[in-house]
Amino acid sequence: MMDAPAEAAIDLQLIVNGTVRQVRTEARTSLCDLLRDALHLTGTHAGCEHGVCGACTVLLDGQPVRACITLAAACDGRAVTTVEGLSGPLVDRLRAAFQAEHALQCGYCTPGMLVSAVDLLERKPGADDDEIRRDMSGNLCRCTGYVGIVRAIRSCTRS
Amino acid sequence: MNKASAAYASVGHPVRRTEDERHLHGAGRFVADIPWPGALHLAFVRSTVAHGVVRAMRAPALAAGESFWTAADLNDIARPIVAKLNRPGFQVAAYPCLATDRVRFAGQTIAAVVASSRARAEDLAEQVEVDIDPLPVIASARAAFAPGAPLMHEGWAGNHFMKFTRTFGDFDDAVARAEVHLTRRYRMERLAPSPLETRGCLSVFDRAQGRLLFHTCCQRPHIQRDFLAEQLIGIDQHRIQVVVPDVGGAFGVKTNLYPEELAVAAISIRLGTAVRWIEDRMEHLLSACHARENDETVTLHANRDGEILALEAEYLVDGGAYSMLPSTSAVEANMSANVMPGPYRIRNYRATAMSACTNKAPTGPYRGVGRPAACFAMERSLDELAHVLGIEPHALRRRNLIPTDAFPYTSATGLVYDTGNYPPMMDTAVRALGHAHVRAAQQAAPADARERIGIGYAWYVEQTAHTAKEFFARGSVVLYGFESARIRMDIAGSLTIETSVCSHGQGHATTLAQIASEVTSIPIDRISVRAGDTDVVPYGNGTFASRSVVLAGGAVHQACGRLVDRLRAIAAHLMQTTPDELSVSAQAVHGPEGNAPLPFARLAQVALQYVHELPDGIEPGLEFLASYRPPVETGAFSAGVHAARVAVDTETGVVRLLDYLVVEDCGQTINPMIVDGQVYGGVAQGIGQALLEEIRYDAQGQPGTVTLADYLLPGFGEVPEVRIEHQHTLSPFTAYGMKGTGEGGCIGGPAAIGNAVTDALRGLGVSVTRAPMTARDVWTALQAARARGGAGGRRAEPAYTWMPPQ
Amino acid sequence: MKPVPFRYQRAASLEEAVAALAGAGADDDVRVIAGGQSLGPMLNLRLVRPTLLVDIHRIEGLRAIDVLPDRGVRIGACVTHAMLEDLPSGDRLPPGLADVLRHVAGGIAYRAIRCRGTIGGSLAHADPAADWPSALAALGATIELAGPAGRRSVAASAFCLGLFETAIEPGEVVAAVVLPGSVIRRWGHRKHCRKVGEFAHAMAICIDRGGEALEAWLGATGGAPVAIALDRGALAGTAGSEAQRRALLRERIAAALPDSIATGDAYARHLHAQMAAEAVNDILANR
Repeated sequence: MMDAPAEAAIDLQLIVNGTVRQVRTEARTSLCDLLRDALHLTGTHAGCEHGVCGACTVLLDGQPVRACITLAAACDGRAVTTVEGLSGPLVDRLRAAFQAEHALQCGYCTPGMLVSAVDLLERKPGADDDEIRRDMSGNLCRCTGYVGIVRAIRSCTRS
Repeated sequence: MNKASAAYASVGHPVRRTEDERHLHGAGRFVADIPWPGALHLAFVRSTVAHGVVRAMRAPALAAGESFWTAADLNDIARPIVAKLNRPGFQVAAYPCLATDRVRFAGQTIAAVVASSRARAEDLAEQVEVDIDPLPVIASARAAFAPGAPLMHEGWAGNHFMKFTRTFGDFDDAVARAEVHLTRRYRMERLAPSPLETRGCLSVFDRAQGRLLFHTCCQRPHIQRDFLAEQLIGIDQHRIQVVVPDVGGAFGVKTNLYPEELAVAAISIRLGTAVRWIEDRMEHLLSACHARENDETVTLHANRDGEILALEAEYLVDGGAYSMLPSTSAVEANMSANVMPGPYRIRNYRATAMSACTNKAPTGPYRGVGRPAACFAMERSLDELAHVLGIEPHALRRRNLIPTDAFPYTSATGLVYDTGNYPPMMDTAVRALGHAHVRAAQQAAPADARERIGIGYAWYVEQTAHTAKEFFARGSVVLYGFESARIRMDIAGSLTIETSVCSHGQGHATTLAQIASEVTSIPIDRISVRAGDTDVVPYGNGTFASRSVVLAGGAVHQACGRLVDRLRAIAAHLMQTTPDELSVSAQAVHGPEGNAPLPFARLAQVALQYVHELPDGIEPGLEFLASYRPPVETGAFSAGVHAARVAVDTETGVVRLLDYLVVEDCGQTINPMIVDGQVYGGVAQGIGQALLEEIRYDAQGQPGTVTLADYLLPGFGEVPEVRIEHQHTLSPFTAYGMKGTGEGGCIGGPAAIGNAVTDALRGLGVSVTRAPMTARDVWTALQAARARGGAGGRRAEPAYTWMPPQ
Repeated sequence: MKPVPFRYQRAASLEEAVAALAGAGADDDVRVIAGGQSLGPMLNLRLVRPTLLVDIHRIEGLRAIDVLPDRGVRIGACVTHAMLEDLPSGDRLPPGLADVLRHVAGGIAYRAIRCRGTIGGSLAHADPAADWPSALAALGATIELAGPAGRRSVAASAFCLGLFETAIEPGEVVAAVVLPGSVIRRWGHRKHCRKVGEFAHAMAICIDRGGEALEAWLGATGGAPVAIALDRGALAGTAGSEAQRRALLRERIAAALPDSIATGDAYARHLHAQMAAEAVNDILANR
């Protein structure tokens, strides 16, 4: 990054998982690359880098976004929560449910799945299966066939 | 639940996975996550044309610390990759890590640049100017065999990697006796395996030590090391270490040694530093191995009562431009030809298998290999035959299934099926799908109903855990004869397993620990499993071909048995009794009444520290290596029948899955939760093949599917809540009677769904011949059928879904 | 898959954004970015190669949804799809309007995309497969543009001109979308995607405000949205089965489809007619 044209370098301050982080990066750097390369938060995975697979989903000011097609520069001064920073009773239940229902195999899509699932359950605590499937449809998994993931999320709904 | 599970304390129970915790906290470590300060990033310059000669290249403007690499720079360090198959007439195509002069598919690596970041490397890569003189393009298997087609590789005799015809049984005689002859053509399109994690590697050359540390996401660490040592000039194998961290899905695509990986290793050696290449999704769709593209012509020769007397099939596979190491571009056609008769007692069979060389990305192994296409053609043909004969499709199948008393059964092609009990599985599927109920609903539906309901079945057998002799018989150059496990008890009585298999999501750390726990009584949370490091784990072949649980599980079973024997021997000495007076449970050895049980920790203390207490003739130490070669090398045969109920929207052609059922038998399961997971995941990939996935090229060999917006992977909305029914027919020669089960889930989907769609549209005169069966195909076929005036009689020629011109 | 290097400027106000566009050098390729959900992938794929990005996403005034005196609504350009999907129910908007907005917004791609993607960005980008161009045309919206010469309005029906082509002049930025407050009696919106959340291959929307004429607006046409006028009176006699009515509608609409749409592709043309027929049928059917 030292050899980037000076004009393209940019100073940012983000609150990442509750901690203020100051970073200098290129303007073209995505939030995903910033988290992984500059902040060493490698739980956010790049699966496609064009916004389709959802592996890189993080919370930006509490809302799910694709970190691969969100410029880091656009997140200056904002709060980012990655899988490493997810916490609370709902998240604990969800993590336990993912394990109990075999909602992960290789684990690559799992961080994005968890982030999207937390958002879904906070917005729609009583979601039924159709809503779960529709709302989660932006996250791809190539291993599980989704069966365990739907069951895990379902088990955390308020029915 | 397993019928047999009650007999075991750990085996057969749905134990939660020990792997999950780290992934649920974002602490998994994939190859892109490995921190390596100062590692440089590599990007490739790839061909934009499908066929041509590279005339000139202009280097980019490099800053300090950046470098540019062409084939000429690597000739003396990296040999071209040459994949061979021991079959008469097989033709070899050398695949250089960077193109030397000719490029043979769009996406082939031509040059590489190395810089301080991936973004910067991409800036440099696009500055490289490449002049290519185009050559005529061969964009299909049929074009490759057309008279006058230009030769793809110098010195070849025709554009085929492989072609053969083999005849089994009294084929001609059986054909002459048959009353009905039915010929159909089917096509399964080209796919991209597309694990969520793309390929990637981090190659570190340590100049001081002269050692290469190669981190990569692959399925077979030792085999990868063997290959690297073979390809790299001037570095002996003992100086290469392959480390495989967490792997984000593989499905076969990560069994190959790729030119990219070889180039990264070679360049890191030349630079004497760490170089990382993380493939992006476009590169993956362009150049990681593709699969399938199998065009099949099938003839069933049968009697009117449904008995199949003979089978004739031609497999024409578009293998792409080069052969992947080691499976070669023949793997699809070879496997299809070998397994086509499946669960049916068909003794007379003629197979013609051809793998063509074209200007497309190379093809290679992807979950199922050859079987999804064979299943699609065979099972679709059976439904067509059933229709012609006026028999229910399940009844026709039952008529031809291998009877239970015929096992062990040797198939027409020489596969030895160990055990099976197929007829009850058919009955289960028919009952659980509600066959009779659906038939009644179809009868009751109004003639002009917009949505049509249909049901379809598909069978497969899955050869698993086969070893050296079987691979030798197939002509494989690399023979995967065994898997190994080294177990180590420490002084606290806990256990470490080091194994040669390499999980990419299968949960080996849990499954192998369950087997160790079963043998030793040590609880799973006191057992660690290590894999994926050639400096640590014993030699073995890795994870592929549904083999890990049987072979690595067998090794763990053996090694743990030896450990327990030693613990008993030590205990017998301490208790002044004989080992056969002793029993093992609850991490202790129990003696005859009056003796206090001896905990493993106490026995480990004797074996590892207080060796003066050891009896004569017992070696100190508690490490045991088992390399498990099964007593039967032809494998353990799992089987399954898939059943689908679909609704087809006749106005849009959209196919909706209403129900999907799998009846499967993989013998004794070790962890039924993980087995179900393999089935669910496989089915999702099968549904992808059936309805969505398709790599497209135009007539100039230009790829049309280079992002996940073009190449559609099934999501939450496309995969229903699959139902699974289990049956447990044990293998007689594996530990616990287990059989492998990694691939079966993805085999039956296109066939079951294709049969269901055809069943739904029978009355309208449409028949599925292609996977994927897109809405466009279905609608177009409906239009064609309407234009011809509808269904016609039972024997009327149906309107096929889309099929490319001959 | 990383973008080309570029400079980045975040505008604090619309005036600042317009000034930034005006102040760009002659050699600059300037792009306005809002949520970046269409631009982001194109940047990563290097399909766009800007030298300067002007980010308008944080301009406070562009993120407001205001109900107007006529009970119409003014939606700031940087209002996200998710904000519209989550529009609270209540009596502030005319009946039907909030439903349409919620439905259209909620059907765009995936939640994580909707949380960043904006209505103004979608319009300015003018991807033919996007949902808003046809929906806003059908709703009778006007688009407010801010430029060096001040503000002007363009009817949504005249805004999209073709593939990635709009009425936006150089130096202009989309400021807001204004929707009229007239009552919506019924509406139909249908689209065809090969999988959930995928780009649509055909879509249609029809708004019934009670008049004799019905207009079906077709999106995903490969170019600008297309309106097909239907006379309710002429459709009155279609009292047969659902299937018969759909078939008649499909026939009428197919006959009115411009030749330029999906030329030579019978299935694509059929899908456009099918989606439009279904959208209109949603209005005609007894619900």
